[in-house]
Amino acid sequence: MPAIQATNLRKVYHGHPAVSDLSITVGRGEVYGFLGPNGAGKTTTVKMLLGLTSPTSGQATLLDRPLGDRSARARIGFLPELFRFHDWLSGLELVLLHGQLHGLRGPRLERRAREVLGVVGLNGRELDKVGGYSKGMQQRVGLATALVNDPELVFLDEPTSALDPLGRRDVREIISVLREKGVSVFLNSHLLSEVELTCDRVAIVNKGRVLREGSLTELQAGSLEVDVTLDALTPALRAKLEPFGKVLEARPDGLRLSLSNRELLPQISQTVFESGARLYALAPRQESLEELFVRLVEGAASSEQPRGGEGA
Amino acid sequence: MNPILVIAGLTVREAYRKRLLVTVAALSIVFVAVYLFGVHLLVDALRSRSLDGDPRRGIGDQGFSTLEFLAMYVVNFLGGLMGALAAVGCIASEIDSGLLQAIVPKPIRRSSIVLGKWLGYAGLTVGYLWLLAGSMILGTTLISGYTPPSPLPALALMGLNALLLLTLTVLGSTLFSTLANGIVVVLLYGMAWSGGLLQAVGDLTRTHLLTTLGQASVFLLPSDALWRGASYFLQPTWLLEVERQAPVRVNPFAGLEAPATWLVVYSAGFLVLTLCAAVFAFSRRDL
Repeated sequence: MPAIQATNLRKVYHGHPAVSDLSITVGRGEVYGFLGPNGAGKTTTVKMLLGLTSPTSGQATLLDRPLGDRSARARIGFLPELFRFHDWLSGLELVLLHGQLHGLRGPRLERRAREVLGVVGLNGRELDKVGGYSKGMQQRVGLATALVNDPELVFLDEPTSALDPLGRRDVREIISVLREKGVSVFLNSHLLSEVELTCDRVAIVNKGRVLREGSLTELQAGSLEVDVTLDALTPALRAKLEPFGKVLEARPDGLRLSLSNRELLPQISQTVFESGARLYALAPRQESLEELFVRLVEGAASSEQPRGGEGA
Repeated sequence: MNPILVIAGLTVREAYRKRLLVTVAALSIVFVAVYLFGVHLLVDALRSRSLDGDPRRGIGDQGFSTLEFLAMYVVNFLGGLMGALAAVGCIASEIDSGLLQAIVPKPIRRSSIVLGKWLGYAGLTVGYLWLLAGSMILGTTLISGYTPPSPLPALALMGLNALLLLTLTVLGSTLFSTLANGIVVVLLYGMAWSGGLLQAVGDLTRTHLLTTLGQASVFLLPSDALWRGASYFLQPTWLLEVERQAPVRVNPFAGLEAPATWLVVYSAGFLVLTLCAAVFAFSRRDL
């Protein structure tokens, strides 16, 4: 049973689709990265899933319950992108308030509130007013409010936007602790390195559509490149190498090929050897998530150009 | 705890923490003190003119009732304004700032947010109104011995008026921006108020159209009609009788008849429907 199952979700604002036919599945216990450039529809998707905005069409379930179901929302935590809180409350009071809205109370709530404040590193500052916190601390207290109900599914919308490198590492650690506990995490981010480090599976979205979805290895499969450096690239040898994959770049002393799998590497070396050319380097390289992201997003943009945009 | 009560408690706490309560209390104490000093001066003046030193002899009570009547008129106006302005941005400003984004996904109904805020502000507004009016009525009694005939129904109707304005503001806050909402509600309040005056002027000059316009304004917002109902309970019976006998209307701000049952029912229905509309509008709104 997936933690999130969305089918053909669509949201149209004033005739313009912010999200079009978005379908994703997030498994239980999975850390799911939702990647996309600004304005790709990431936040709108999160808002629809959390009931802040109603979808124009499509369906979704969270923790096997339909959208808006309160018993599912009791098991969900959410850190919004614009983390604005009741800044006249202290950190502890704020977390207690969010706990009360989850129906928690008494000493159990108090204990849990202090525990999550410790997890996000606000021990010792919990009695200070949230309004006096730095941006990073406000994001941390927001994370504490998202975790106070011990959720099974957590939505984090750009959770490290205000954090310094140390804070980011803390959040990564919190996410890995959540993963160990079997909590599903939906991470909305455009910090690719962070997603690469934390996520089990990733969806890359642009203009409200999923361009690619899969595990990092799946996404990067087929994105293997190899740079072959020779004494000289003869036309005859080039003709023999071309069948291995798409030629990305050809130089007098070699070429760069895109390969479908790494088993082709020894065959390339064999072919070069048999042709009598001298091989100086055979350097395979996996495409990074960033390169994949740029390629997909820019590719999607250029393929849409001839259709004259996505208006209505 | 019920989420409505959690939100209501939060609303009251916010008013306290943001010093709204302290500021309003300080200003109100000044207001009450000035008024009671006025009552004290009136007692002194009437006592010196009275043969046996009783300030309430003769038409003395009319002095106290007029003074208290005017004070209650101001208190009623302030209560309505408090209802209209305290909650002016209660939903809109929290949508704009993004504050509600972390609250709405909680396992609570959206209606609990609206009702909780309404309840919190209702407690503050009516509490303020009753404390202010109550301390003035009680102070007048202690200083002069004069008590209006039926202060409790008057306070109830004044409270209903403040709640009506509060509820309209809460509805407006689910529909408009904070600024637009403030303007709309104050304009409506002003229209209802001037509608009541139109009716009084119409009665005075026997201009039928003005009277009709004034009567129609009751349905737009029964604010002024509620005040006239409340004012009936604040005037001594003999004074009402004198006013009824007068060839023209003496006091354009006062009502001479007890409020009609339909008015109270209409006002309560108005309030409930407005509150339902606020809940409905907020539950359908994209945040």
